[in-house]
Amino acid sequence: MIDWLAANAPLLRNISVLALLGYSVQLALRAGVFSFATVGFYAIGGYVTANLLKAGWNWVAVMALVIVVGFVFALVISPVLNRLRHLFLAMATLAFTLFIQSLALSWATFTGGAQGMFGVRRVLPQGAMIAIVVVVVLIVWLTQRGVLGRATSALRHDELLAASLGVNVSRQQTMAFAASSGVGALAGFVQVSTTGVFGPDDISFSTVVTSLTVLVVGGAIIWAGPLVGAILVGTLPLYLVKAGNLSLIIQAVVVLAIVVYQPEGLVGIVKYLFSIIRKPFRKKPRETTAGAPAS
Amino acid sequence: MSLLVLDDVKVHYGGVRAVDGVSFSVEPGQLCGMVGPNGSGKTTTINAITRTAKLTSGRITFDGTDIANVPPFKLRRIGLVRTFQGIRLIPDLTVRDNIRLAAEQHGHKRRKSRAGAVTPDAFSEALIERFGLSDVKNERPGALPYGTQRRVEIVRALSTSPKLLLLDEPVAGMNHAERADIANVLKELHAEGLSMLIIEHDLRMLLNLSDHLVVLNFGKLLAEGEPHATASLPDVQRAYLGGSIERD
Ligand SMILES: Nc1ncnc2c1ncn2[C@@H]1O[C@H](COP(=O)(O)OP(=O)(O)OP(=O)(O)O)[C@@H](O)[C@H]1O
Ligand SMILES: [Mg+2]
Repeated sequence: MIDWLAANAPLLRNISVLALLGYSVQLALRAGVFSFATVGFYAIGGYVTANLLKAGWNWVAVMALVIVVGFVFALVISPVLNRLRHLFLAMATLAFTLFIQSLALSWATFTGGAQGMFGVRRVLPQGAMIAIVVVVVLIVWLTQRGVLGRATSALRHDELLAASLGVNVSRQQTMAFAASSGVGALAGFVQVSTTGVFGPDDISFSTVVTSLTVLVVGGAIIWAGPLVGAILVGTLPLYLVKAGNLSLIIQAVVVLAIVVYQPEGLVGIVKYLFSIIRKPFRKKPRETTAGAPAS
Repeated sequence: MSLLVLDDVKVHYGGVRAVDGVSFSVEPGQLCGMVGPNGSGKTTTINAITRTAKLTSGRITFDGTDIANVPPFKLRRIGLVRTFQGIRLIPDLTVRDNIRLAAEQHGHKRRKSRAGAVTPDAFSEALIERFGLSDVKNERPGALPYGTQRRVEIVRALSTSPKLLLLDEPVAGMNHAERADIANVLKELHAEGLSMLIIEHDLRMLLNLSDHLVVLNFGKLLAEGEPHATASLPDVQRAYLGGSIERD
């Protein structure tokens, strides 16, 4: 087991970062906020981590700070986002990410400009990295249940209804966005503290596409979705190496097929298979109108 | 003191005068019916009361509070809750969770801390039992018969312990048995003293249930008063013939 973990360190690192990016998008999305800001916060987290680790900070302190920075930054820009809806909101978050991308290129003293940051201490132990992912998955899982989970479902499906039942829509969406941003920044921390490098390539538009792919492939709303998606998106290219140039096409076809035939992603497919297996044993739901005899 | 007071309420959408100077009030414990032809401004009136539609002018007070000062999500806290004309259940929550969702949004911490008081879960459970939804409480709403879905919506609204329940066509699209069923539920609630404002095209049902009838036409108040007397006014009768109030 230990040997396997060590031998597959790059793969695990890749999967961890992908999963965190996926969870970042999911945390916002499940509260009805379609956010492209994840990659912007990923960049902020990455560059802040690179600078602080170079300055000799302890990685635990850096991690804590990066999460807080992502969270607070999101709270600061959320009043603007709260005024926007749906497509406009998505556009605004995309604009935010584009802005951060261009800032990363121009603010060379902090970001290393086009070359990016390199030679950063690779301080994050593998065990800690896995623990970070596990904690995030747990938080996502726990908040998908109970009072918060029900309110979140309501928000995603019908904001007007949610408000009429007493859900503080803008506060809940702001908190979801902040959590999403904190996790996005955390992904940047993990990337830098395990690879030692971070630059414009890491935060390019393809990262935006990849983080969405992770979510779509695994399942956009289900808590296990981003993890499953990250594993698939992380490992698939390894098996597709032989296919050479075809690999991108195969990936695109897989993603499209899932989007078209199974909007709930791979987790949805597994759940569906389980429901087929279990069906014969389940009691048939009764078609009743609660006591009213049909006339 | 009246529970709900509308004072010269206007809601205009550009040139469309959806509600155009409506004043009426609902007394505590009253079941107030609201009728009017299609497009006469009934839903918009409820939208104005729940701050879903912006007032062009006028004033609405609930329980002595000007609702303009209450954010929409806090209306439920002061006891104002509505259902919508179309069914709006959360598809991926079970019937029980749809109801719990509403019960627990406000005051669940307070309720829990008070010794011996009912928790939102217990309160929802009691309502589910009482309104005959026990058999379907673990189902998702999408697969349920239409009448049952509407019933869930009413129970969900009730789970917020409202002072005033606003219902927008609660029996629309239901068969006779389902209608009779909901009518009984409403009668029971009324007997218990719950105040209600009910929009309904089924005039006969409203005549049976309500203490007060409000008739809208073209965004204006055409008549109001004792239900039977109001319904037989010539103006109201004429609005019917041109309109679409069904009399089955
Ligand atoms: N958001 C809106 N924008 C523009 N016009 C609107 C809007 N909402 C309602 N209207 C218009 O206002 C008028 C009143 O609509 P409303 O829905 O209140 O009628 P109603 O009495 O509830 O009718 P129905 O019996 O068909 O439900 C209609 O002409 C409608 O088209
Ligand atoms: Mg209407």
